[in-house]
Amino acid sequence: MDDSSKISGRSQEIKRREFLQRLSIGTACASTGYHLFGQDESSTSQVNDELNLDRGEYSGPNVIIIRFGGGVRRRETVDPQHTYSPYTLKKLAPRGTLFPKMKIDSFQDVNTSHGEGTLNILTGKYDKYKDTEEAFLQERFEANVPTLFEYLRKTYAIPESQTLIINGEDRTQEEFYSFSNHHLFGVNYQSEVLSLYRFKTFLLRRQIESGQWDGPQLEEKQKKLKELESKDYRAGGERNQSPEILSFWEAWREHYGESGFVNPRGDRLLTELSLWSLRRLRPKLMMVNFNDPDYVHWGVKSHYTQGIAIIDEGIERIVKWVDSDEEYRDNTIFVVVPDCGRDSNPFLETPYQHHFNSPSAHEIFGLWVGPGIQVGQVVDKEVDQISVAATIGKLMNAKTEFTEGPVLESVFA
Amino acid sequence: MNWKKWSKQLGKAVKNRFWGAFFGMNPITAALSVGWSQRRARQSILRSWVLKSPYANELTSRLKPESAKDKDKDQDKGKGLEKAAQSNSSDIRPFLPHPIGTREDCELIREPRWVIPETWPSPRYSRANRRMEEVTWKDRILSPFQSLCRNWSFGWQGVFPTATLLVPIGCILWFAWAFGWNNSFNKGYEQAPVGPLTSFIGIGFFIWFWSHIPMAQACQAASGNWKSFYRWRLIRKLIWTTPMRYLGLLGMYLALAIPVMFVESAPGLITSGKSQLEFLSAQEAVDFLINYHFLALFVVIFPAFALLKRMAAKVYADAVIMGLGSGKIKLDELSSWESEVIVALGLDRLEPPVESPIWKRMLAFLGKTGTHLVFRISMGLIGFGLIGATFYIPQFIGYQSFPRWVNPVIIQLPWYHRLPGHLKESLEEEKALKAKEVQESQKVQNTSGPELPDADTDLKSE
Repeated sequence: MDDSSKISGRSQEIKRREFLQRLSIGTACASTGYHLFGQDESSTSQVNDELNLDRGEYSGPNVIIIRFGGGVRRRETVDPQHTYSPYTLKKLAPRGTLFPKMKIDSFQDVNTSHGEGTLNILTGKYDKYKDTEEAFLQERFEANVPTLFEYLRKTYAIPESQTLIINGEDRTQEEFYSFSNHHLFGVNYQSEVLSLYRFKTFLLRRQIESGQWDGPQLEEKQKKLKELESKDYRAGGERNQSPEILSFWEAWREHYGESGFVNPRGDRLLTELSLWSLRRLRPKLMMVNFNDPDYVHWGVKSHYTQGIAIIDEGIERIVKWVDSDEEYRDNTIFVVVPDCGRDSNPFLETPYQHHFNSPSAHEIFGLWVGPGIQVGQVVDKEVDQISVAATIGKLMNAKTEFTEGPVLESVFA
Repeated sequence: MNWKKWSKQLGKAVKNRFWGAFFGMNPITAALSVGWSQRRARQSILRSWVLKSPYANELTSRLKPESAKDKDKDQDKGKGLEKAAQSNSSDIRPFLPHPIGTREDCELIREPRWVIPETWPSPRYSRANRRMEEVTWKDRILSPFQSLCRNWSFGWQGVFPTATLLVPIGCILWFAWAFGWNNSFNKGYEQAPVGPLTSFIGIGFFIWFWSHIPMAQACQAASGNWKSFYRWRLIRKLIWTTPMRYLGLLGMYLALAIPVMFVESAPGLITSGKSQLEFLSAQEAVDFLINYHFLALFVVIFPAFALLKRMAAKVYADAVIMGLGSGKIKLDELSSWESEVIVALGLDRLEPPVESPIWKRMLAFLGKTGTHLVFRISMGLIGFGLIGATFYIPQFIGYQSFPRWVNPVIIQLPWYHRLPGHLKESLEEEKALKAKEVQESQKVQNTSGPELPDADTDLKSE
């Protein structure tokens, strides 16, 4: 068998998982005439339009979920004596309701990590997640119950581009937590994602299409694009982003160029993407997956404290922008919640280096600010991370029937 | 093997481990463990040479009591020498070809002690003056702490040369780690290669120097002079005299670095799950760490350190004899003490020991270049593994800042006890809090004493 036939043979092989995924997604799309693979931009928007026909307009508050991520302890965030996030604690918290004793359930065998924490927030259910290919530390998870994006988009005629995940470049797998495997929901109701990964993919596609390369160089670039697309373990990178997002990336490219050296980096990039998306895409529900403090896994303490400070600064910029925008002001709820806590290991030079499922890694907090939220309240009782989804559902008036956490009633004014 | 002998050996091992662990709790006193290991390495070298000497039987049998002569003729040769050392040196001298009868030699024959001397002062033969010498006042005053003083002196002499190599390399590795991750945190794409490249440079230096260090340390121990550590030409010759045996020694470094790695990493993992250790007070955590570090030194770190030094000494002793026999090494390349002992023991006239037939066949097959290639590749792989086990894995699981980078515990200084900085701060906070509580309780006592203000005043103040 020659090389070319080997390659073509391999391409014809569809893994069982991939086949099932495509089948389920395809079945979901069939009724709407949605061509999942290789669809063009106009067909995407057509599908969205069709899906939106029998759903009402959304007129509730916008919600911005800030994943105070990378795992943070209460001590460095909501403890006034030791905080590295003074804006969030001292300026923002008095405008709303703070739950300093929010926690991740420690009775079930729940892992305290970023992927799991993100899905706890989005689905309102604790689950034992496994990597799709059971690879070590990959965290390519699939939610079995709907995410908040799906609940919202199934209830209201909100386009994909107005439900957003803003993701970092270090944890690409979290880009694909945008929809669940639930048979009543799924890919039709997914959110869009903004990230450096998406921009790189967009840019490479555009560059290849422009015909600026040929021969071996073109082959190399096509291979690189395939590699990038292969990171999409849900749809194999075969879905294009919506036209609104593509024009967003065009504008980004126009402003910051193609080098990647001009735009902000790390979690500051996430803040910038959030501000850009607020201005251009006007999202109704947005989740910002901050993650810089997680660098402390390598032991350097300042990465943790600096990471927290960068997130704090990001929150301040986003809140100030929202306060300055007529449409968003008084109509936007902020939910600040970490994905997980971190260890408080007294025996290590860097006690918060990891989150090995210790009691402290289960300890987080929750902050709610915005219209309809009780002002200046500190709820000093234990509540669960999975209550976030149900509470947001209630705030946005979307039924979240598969969430397990109770609604945080004390949030409401 | 009788029970008495076993119990004696066990007692010795426990005693040595205790002292090694005790001194290893502090970086200053840990030098005593290095000194003791150096002296024991020297004793191993001497013992090894004595046993290889053509006079070995004569030396040991003459020193044994008549009743024991018939038994164990070929066994326990070293023990006979030990008995000789315990007896008066003037008795030993006539039995041994010179210079084994001097005070230093007699002390060397016995296993070194930690504090008290190996042999108490008594008239001894002086090789330099070729006569018996009386015990001086200085000897009498210093004698109770003679071993302690020698361990101290040998210890620092042992640490210094090794540190001149490993501290700069540790600094490079530490910088590479800190800078590399710092750059990664800041997404400094433009200078992304700096961290990894610096790491590779550090790793290269480490593997190169570390691969010579065991032989260099043994060479230093044998001569008793720190300058011998830097005799690279001799050291390289010795390594290439017994390359496979030396490779085995390097392999032992990796094998023993793995349990040490587990010991060092364990504190990073023990609070996981439903453990309640996170809730310990600062004082309880300090107590826990002191006990854990002592136990780690006692069970794993110090025994590994001492064993490696002893193994290196044996490899060195064999390499010297083989090198002399094969003509690769000349007697005048060794220190004066070594060459005198070798001449006295008749080892300069020995045929080289026969190599293991397997190695001989293997060496013949591979040829000299092949051996070099195998040695270098294996050395690189072992060194790479050692770096992972010594630096990177423990640092990832439980970062321990600068001292850990510049001191690989099984190579340089068996010092393990360090308290995290935050724990010291918490300890002070706890003390301050307690003091405040005591003050407040005293205040309450004073106010609730005989001169109580009346109820109205109290209510008003509230």
